[in-house]
Amino acid sequence: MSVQSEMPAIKPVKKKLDLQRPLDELVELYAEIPARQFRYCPGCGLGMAQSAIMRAFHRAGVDITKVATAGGSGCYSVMGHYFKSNHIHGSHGRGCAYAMGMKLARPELTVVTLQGDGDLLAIGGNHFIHAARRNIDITVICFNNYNFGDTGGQFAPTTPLGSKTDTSTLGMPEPAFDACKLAIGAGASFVARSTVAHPAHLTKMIADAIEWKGFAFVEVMQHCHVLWGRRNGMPEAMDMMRFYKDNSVLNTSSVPEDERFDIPIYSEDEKNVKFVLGVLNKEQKPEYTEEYAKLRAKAMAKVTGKAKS
Amino acid sequence: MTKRLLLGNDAFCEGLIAGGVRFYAGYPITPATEIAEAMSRRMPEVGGTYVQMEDELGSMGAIMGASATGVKSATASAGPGMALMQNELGQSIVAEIPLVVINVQRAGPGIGNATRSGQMEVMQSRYGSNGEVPAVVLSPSSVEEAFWLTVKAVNFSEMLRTVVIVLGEGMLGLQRAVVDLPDYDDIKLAERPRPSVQPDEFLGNYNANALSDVPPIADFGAGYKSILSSVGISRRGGGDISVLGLSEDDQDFTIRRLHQKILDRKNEITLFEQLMTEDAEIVYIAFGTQALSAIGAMHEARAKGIKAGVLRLITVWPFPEDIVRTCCAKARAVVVPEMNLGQVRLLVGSALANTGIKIVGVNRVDSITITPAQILEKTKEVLS
Amino acid sequence: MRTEIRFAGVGSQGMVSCSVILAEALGIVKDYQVVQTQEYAASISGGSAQGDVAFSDQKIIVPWVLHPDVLVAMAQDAVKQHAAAMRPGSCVIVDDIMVNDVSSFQKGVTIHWAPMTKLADDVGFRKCANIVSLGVFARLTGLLTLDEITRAVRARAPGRAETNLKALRLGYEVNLGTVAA
Repeated sequence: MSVQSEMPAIKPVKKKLDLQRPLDELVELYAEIPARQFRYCPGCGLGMAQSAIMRAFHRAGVDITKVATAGGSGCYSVMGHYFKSNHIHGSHGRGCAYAMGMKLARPELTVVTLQGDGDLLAIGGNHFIHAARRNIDITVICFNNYNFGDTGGQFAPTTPLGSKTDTSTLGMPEPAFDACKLAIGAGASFVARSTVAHPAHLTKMIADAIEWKGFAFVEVMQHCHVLWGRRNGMPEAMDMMRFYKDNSVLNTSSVPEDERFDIPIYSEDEKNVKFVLGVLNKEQKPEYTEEYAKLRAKAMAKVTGKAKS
Repeated sequence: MTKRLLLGNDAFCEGLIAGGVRFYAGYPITPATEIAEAMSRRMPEVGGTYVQMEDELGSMGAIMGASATGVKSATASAGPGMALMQNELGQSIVAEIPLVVINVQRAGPGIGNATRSGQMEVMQSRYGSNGEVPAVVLSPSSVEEAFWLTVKAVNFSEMLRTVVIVLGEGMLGLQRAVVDLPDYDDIKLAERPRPSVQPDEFLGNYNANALSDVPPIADFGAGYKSILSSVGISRRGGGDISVLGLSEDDQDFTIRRLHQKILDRKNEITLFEQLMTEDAEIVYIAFGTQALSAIGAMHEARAKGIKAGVLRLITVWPFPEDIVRTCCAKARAVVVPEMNLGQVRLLVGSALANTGIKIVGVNRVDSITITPAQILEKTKEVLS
Repeated sequence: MRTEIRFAGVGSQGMVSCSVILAEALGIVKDYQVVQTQEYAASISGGSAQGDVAFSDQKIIVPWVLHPDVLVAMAQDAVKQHAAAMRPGSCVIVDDIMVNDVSSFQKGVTIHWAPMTKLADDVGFRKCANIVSLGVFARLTGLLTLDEITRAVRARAPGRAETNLKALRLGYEVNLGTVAA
């Protein structure tokens, strides 16, 4: 069954950052504004991340009715409701599994998962690494806020060693995951990192990920000043923005010459590097839905061949 | 019609295909593995997709995603795999995503006894998930029925926008019988209700006004804003996304509607076989493979002059209490043979409460089938 | 009339396959009503394994084989396990290498010793002893002609066609030593 879309026609704007386009216009095209308020805490990084995703949809030129997003539980879990896209808001950690099904069943959809760090790397880690291994054409966006925010700030697999959370009041005893390294190790063909303190760069990373043919992973460093920040000496949103700004360096290999971002360039001698931003991995590999389509064509040809003989 | 010597698990697989399933996600587990094996060959042949996921949670997630795009989807598992699936089962029932899940029951708790058979998941099928979710569970007795009932399961899941569990058993899944398969094009298929309004008038996938409503669901990518969720959605659709979670009123309506939409269609989905119950003094109530031993016992009992009858439950959930009462109108006693410690007996007991009918079970949990002789022995014991 | 047959041995001897081929022969080639069931231990090789076939000219209600009319036993353990199920008047085909003690069968059970493993060795492939047993079975019971059982073997065990058909023929043509228990 196909129903003609009554949505306003979207003119894709290619290869221009287009940050000047009025926000209202983009909101009209891509977003769904809640009647009373957004569910994010005041100053939360998720709002900025959401804005970057919206701009990235525009930059990548997607038809929002052909976008399917998936997510589970966490602070971010309302975000799927705030877009005009289709969305599964399911149980904790299954975003990549839903995305696998959506993309395999309808490869023409643009499939994006919106997941938190606990959601993606703790309970949903298995689905994440296996989706990456298959190199299926989905975009996984991980909002890394260093803790389980929705439940009140317990440590997550990403919580930095020694930092304080509700369940590590004496300091986090476990080493943290580097989500990007995990993704690269699992076989993700596109891996990038950015922070909400670098909105233009973040938008570009997400747009590139959406346009990428294959499994794309973007780690969005997104502050939670209310829980993690407060317990670790950064109680205001601005403290954490400064923290991101001060500790970020750019992986130069990913920056085209015509796009400059106000981020220091990474050098190997850098001692205090916390976040290397930019595209950290990019390799061409066979894409899973295309490979499966070939297998299917072969199987179907075999059956019709048999029926004829 | 093509006559084939068909494996029970292949019958499930063919039933899914005949029912229109074109997406299957699976994870190997004895004794359901043959379904995944067959689907890995058959799905691409019929233009569908087979994906082998990293675990049973992943299988459920993938079929939920696929069904959201409008493609009929299914998975199969057993024992501990079914236990893992409970989370997503509840989620897809409350998000009203149509799915079929085949449970080829194995024996025992925990990892159980993989190659052995049992009937131990009657209650899990209904009460295994958190929250108050309803269940539609169909249980075939023979290979041929496995095929037809799986087709029906797909139809019911679409009609009701819910998950339908086909409760198979190891000894059925690994049984072969000669079956006449029909031409699949001749089978009548049901489709989920889809929106008839334009996208800007669409009020979401949960736009219900009455408890019996099965609201339309929009396929992902069909032009609608389609959200599948159990929170942030009001009963009249759309919902207030300022708050995540339902108001008391909406929660009450949603949970009651999930049950009522099924109960209001109970006549359509309650399947059973009733044999010689009209004058039966003793009624055997059984489901799945063990119902066949009950039928065998009935014939032997009748030959001995005992007025026995059989009620074979095909739809196990929603449990057909009224049918049980009708079939036992003349009964002095009921024998419930089952390969567990009395799960259906408990349900029969509640259906026949205050009737004075004596209810006894013949129970085995050693994975060996209950024989007609054992049922007969119990019959003599109860009637004496 | 309902007849029950059981093939029993240890895992990897192909006992389940035997029952499937026989079910194919009786159900598809001969048009009987047939149900085939199986039982095996979790280990892939070496555990007990059995394949059962019940067939009849009428609808089969109870699918299980409880008291086989014919038992094909390819291992001593199988004899031990299934002897009690055999009733007077039934018959057993035992492998003369793999089985040595048949004292556990009750009186009235006819025992046929057949060199199934030996013939399979003659063909050069011990694993096709199960196919030999099908040949022995077909001839002994008179249920199937060599051609009929051959068709089922071709349909269900298409690999190693030459070896299998040779094994089947050897089984079909063997002279049996028969003892009454």
